[in-house]
Amino acid sequence: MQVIRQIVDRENIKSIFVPEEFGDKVEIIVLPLKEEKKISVESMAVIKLQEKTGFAAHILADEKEDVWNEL
Amino acid sequence: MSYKYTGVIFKIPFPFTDLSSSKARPAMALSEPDEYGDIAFVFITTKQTRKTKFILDIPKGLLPFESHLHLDKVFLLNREIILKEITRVESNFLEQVLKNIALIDTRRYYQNTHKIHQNQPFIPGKSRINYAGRVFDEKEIINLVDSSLEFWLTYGRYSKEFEEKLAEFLGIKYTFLVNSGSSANLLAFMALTSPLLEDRRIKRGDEIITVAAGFPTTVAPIIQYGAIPVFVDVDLETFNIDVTQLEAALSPKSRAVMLAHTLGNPFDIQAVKTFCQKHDLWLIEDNCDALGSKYNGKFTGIFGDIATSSFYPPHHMTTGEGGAVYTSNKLLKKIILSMRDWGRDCWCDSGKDNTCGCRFSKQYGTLPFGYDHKYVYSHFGYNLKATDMQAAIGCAQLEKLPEFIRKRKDNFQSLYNSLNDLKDIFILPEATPKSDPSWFGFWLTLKDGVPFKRNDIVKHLEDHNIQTRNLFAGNIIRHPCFSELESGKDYRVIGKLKNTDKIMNDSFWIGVYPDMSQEALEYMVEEIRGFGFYGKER
Repeated sequence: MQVIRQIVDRENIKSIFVPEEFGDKVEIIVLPLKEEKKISVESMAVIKLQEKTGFAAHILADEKEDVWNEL
Repeated sequence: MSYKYTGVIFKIPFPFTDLSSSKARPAMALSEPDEYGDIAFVFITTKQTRKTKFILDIPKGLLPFESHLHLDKVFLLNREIILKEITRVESNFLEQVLKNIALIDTRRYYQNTHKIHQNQPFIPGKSRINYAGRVFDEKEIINLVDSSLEFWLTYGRYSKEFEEKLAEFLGIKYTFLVNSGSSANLLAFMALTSPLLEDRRIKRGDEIITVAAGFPTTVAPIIQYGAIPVFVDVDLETFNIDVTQLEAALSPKSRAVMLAHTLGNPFDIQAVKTFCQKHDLWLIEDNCDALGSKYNGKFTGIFGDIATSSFYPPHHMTTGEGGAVYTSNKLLKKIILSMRDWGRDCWCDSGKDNTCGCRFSKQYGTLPFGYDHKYVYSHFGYNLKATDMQAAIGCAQLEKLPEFIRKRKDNFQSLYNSLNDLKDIFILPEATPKSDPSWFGFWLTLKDGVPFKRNDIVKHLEDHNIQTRNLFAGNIIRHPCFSELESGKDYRVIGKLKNTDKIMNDSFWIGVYPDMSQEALEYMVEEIRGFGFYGKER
């Protein structure tokens, strides 16, 4: 199946070009743009440090808390 | 209005930086993302892993397992690591969470600031020995912050709780929190001027029997109203009224006796009360300096028609500024409440309306029928209410009061035992027969003929960092405020107030407050003895 994927700004949507070979009827799906997750180096460092806290290492890491994995 | 993140429980990968991990933990956001995308979180675990006092149970049904929040473990994580939103807590639960976290920080603040100062070792000569001081721990500050966060400010749930607990402690029916001990005295006295008391009300020109050796605001309300104080002398052992002079003070205008239990020592309640009953006089007990003192096995403050307390910091317990009026008389209860609260006829609590159910359906005075009861005034009253924040401190202090009283008694006894052999130099305090005082201080009165002056030994003690106090006004009628009053007209004096003057000239007192260490008590004794009584020229 042929697919056209394009990321456009909302204000630039004026017309949609559909190739002839798509036929008389087409399926249009509009999705919100899923942006790449961006975490600054500083934030990541802070997060990493917190993994080393006693509470994270002993309580959050406890296997008994794995019941939350599938939540 | 609710925020996008705050109060929402999210699924967070675990370890936090392993975004491909199959493990995850729930955490509640405490904030919106800051400019870097960071959010404060508290984690949720099942009930099996950690038990401390810093946890709060998650409301049932919100998550599939019984679980709780670890409020003392706040994490700062970036919003980008959130896997998904699980659920949102109710706003009242969020409020509870945020308040508890603030209180955990409050406790930390206390432990790292006030507590360190409180636990300083006593260094003789360098450490200041105050005559009194606030004694508190984290509970007072936590209550204060708790009340502040509620921001009710005026009479509220802590005020109600405080009044009920104080009444229960004393064994009296009604107590009323006010903004100071002096306000309490004003309110207690003015309540007895209410027209609702008919023939028994105190009118201008009536006489009130009292003493001049004490604090001015025991006497001030009498004069401010236009009644006439009649001053009786005191005795030098108990610092209380010389009851043998009561009959001499009586006149056809006598309406009440208003007396303080001096520095915690109860006056001769039996004699005074018998006198009042015999002559149909009101009895006001100024219990400001005597909370926890007993007479005949019962707390002072319950013997009179009305009594008062002060919670100013040096007193037996504190609310900062604050005081209380108490009574077991139902009519006086109504009057006190009215006069404390602007003189209004209505008795609705702050913020409540129509408790009586007749707010717009009664006739008052010559007002139009159905005039709003909330704004009907049966007295020319005051607003003497305290704030709920003061009451919050008071609730925590009340819990400590029995221990405060015990310590005061022990400290007094320690000083008494150590100074008992100085009776040729000082008149030492003696508890009134049948009483068990909760002492406010330990006084010393120079015996006639000793070769030094009161101010000499006071200076010696103050120079050695021992704080002293006179018995307040000493003799109130010798103060400038009396200069415009005329003896025999505006006030009367029975006899010459010889002992009152003696106290004014030759007495001082030192503290026995609960936080005083044994080392401090011993140092005070050492310095009193070290003054060297003889060889001083008077």
